[in-house]
Amino acid sequence: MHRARASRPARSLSVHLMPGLIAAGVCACIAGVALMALLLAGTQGTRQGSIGQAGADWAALARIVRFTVIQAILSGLLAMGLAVGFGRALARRRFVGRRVVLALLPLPMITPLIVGGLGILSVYGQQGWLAGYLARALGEDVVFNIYGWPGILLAHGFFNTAFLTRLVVQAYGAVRPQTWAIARQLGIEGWQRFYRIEWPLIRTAVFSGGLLVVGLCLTSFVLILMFGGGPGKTTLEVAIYQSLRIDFAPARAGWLALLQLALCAVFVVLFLGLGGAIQEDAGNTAAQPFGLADGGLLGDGVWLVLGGWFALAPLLAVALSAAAAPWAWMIADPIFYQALLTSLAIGIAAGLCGLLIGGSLVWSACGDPRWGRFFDGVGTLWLVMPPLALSAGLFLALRAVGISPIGGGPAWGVAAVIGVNGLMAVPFVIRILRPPAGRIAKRYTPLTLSVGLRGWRRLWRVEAPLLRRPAALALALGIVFSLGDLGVMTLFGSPRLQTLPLYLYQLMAGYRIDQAMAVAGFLLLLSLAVFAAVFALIAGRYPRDGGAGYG
Amino acid sequence: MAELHLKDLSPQRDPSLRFDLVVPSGGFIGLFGASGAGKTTLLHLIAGLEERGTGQVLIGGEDQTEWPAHRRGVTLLFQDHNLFEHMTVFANIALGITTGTPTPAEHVAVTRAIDQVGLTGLEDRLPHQLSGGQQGRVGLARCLMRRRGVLLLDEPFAALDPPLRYDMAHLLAALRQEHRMTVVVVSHDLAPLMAHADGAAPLQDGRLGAIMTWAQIAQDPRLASYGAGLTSQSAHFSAESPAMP
Repeated sequence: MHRARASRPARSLSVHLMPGLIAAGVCACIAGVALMALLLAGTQGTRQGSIGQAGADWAALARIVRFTVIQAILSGLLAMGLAVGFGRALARRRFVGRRVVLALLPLPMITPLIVGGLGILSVYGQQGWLAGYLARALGEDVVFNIYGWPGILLAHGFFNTAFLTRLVVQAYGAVRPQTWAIARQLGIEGWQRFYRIEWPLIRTAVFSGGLLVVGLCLTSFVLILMFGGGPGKTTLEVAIYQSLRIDFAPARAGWLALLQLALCAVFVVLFLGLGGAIQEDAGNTAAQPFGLADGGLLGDGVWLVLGGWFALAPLLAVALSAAAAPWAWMIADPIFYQALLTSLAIGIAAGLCGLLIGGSLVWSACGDPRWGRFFDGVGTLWLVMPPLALSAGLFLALRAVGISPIGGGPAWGVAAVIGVNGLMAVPFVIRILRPPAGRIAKRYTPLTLSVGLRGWRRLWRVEAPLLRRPAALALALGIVFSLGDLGVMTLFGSPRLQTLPLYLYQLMAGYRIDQAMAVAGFLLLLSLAVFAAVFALIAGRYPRDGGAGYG
Repeated sequence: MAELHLKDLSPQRDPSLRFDLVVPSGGFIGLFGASGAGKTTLLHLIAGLEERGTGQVLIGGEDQTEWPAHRRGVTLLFQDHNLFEHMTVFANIALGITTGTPTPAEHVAVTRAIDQVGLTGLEDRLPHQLSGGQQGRVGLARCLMRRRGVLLLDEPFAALDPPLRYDMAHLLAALRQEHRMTVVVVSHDLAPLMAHADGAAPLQDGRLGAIMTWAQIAQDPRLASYGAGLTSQSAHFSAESPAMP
């Protein structure tokens, strides 16, 4: 009997592995260098006894860890609760402006954190809308301290509720309309219907999305920096920053960063164990009129107003405050232009870096399904990789080889900021590109093998045109995320390396709130404009696939 | 034109399937069998798209078992997903001759193929702008452009209404004559092939049977479901299609 040698299809597919392996190698190198630097700094501190000075305050350390975990869990629960009510009302009601609300829901996602934080201050702060309204209504000043728990929860809620709400609406959209008809026929209404029918159908989306929110809040930095309000309300990320840039205690920063990495690793295990993968293409966002006759109109109305206010009011506040801000001052400031150009350059480079790495991982995951889980895992891991811990590792690595990350010239800082921001964009690139790329691979691989369309030529003629739209979305998101980054920049930023968020933060720290509002408004506009422009330029006219749904 | 010879061919993922077959040069046969019997797997094995466990594929007397899919002396019309949805009719067909930009000579060849399958005037359309029958013709034209000795077709009639099935079989026979190809068609519906093919082989219990004549299939009690279909379709065909010789 003739025994087969290695089969041809497998061999021809193996060329798909190379880009993914290179991308995974780059990821491993950066993570490895950062980890080594953290370990070295930590152990050096232990030998020199600095851990005794800085890290041995175990009570303080335990307090930081406890606060980090509790604020993340509470933020996740708040966002989940709001998203279920708001999303349910959005899913089952048809009303004027529904499409506008749905279209605006992704806005918080592309809003720079510091701008959103400023919006929260404008709405809920001492001088904000709410305090002003209550003062007018009650006839006396209302003392409302936004700093601490209220600010942290409100800010996290603003950024995460909209994201989770969209998942809930999509989960409802995935339910077959007959389900609601059957429920009505059986007389299952009101709370019974929610508990027995709706919740089992949406809980996967709610829990997986909620877990993701908890993970993101575990690594929250900018919002805690803005609203933390003192040592009692500090997370590990903020503590790392303070150790490196304020206390100049690299050993303590190293240990804190390692602790943060360990915490995130535990979370990843829990996340995967609890089935935290988010369903792709869970459903559409069309209204499901399953409850129009059951008298829940008032409740839904309350949820819609509450959810809409929560998710969109801070953005409106920034827009209105910015409109009245001193723009002329900003336009005359040369530092503004330097920060603008640096932000754009870093943003574009980081977006491209993220697309290149994420795209390579996706290409290989689809090209050889046996390696799919590995490449998906390498890409998704960065979702819970704490950016400040990673940045601290690179910061310490540069110091270890004798380069001052701040004084050694902007080039090193720029490279580190681009690298970290690019890597942080990778999970989003994977999430956006993977499903359509998988469908294309499944559908066209036999055909491309049959006609000999391989390698670059296949990428150019098949994947590139069909993935143009999702790739444009991934690139636009990567650029905008980096454009709004403050966390990594707080470590590497210097008078010679300024970005718009850092410039804005410095204005806020100097209590120049009017000027900060102008910059915040500009940053928000810039983010939206860059997102729209990149998407429009690259996505082009669509669809050309006959509605096959690759985007 | 080339002889197709399979020797103890078996897929890696299902060793229980074993195929032996000889289709003489210029032959035209059908393959039939129940759903899940391995018909598509067989075609993919021949075309080099399925990982092989054992056996050999000889085309025109040459052992092409280890050849990559795009170099083999066969071309396969898939059951579905034959066309790149974002490419025009012209671009889809041109892929059969080049994966790059067609030269002027290739351009002429593609235009001729479009004419042969009756799609002149539809060159710039996208696949979703065509009917199922037209889409099948685009796939067929691309197969012809590849100028291989053996043409394999996987359920080419599945997406077509009954009258179109006979048109497709007729077109297939005409193109086979013109391009001098050996043709193997997998189909649940054997009736459209009766007027043109030499016979058909059953795929049962993981094995390919010998090539049978239409009369043998119609009379074999083990193949009653196919035979009955053949008899009724044959009557229908005789009554409605003047193309039948």
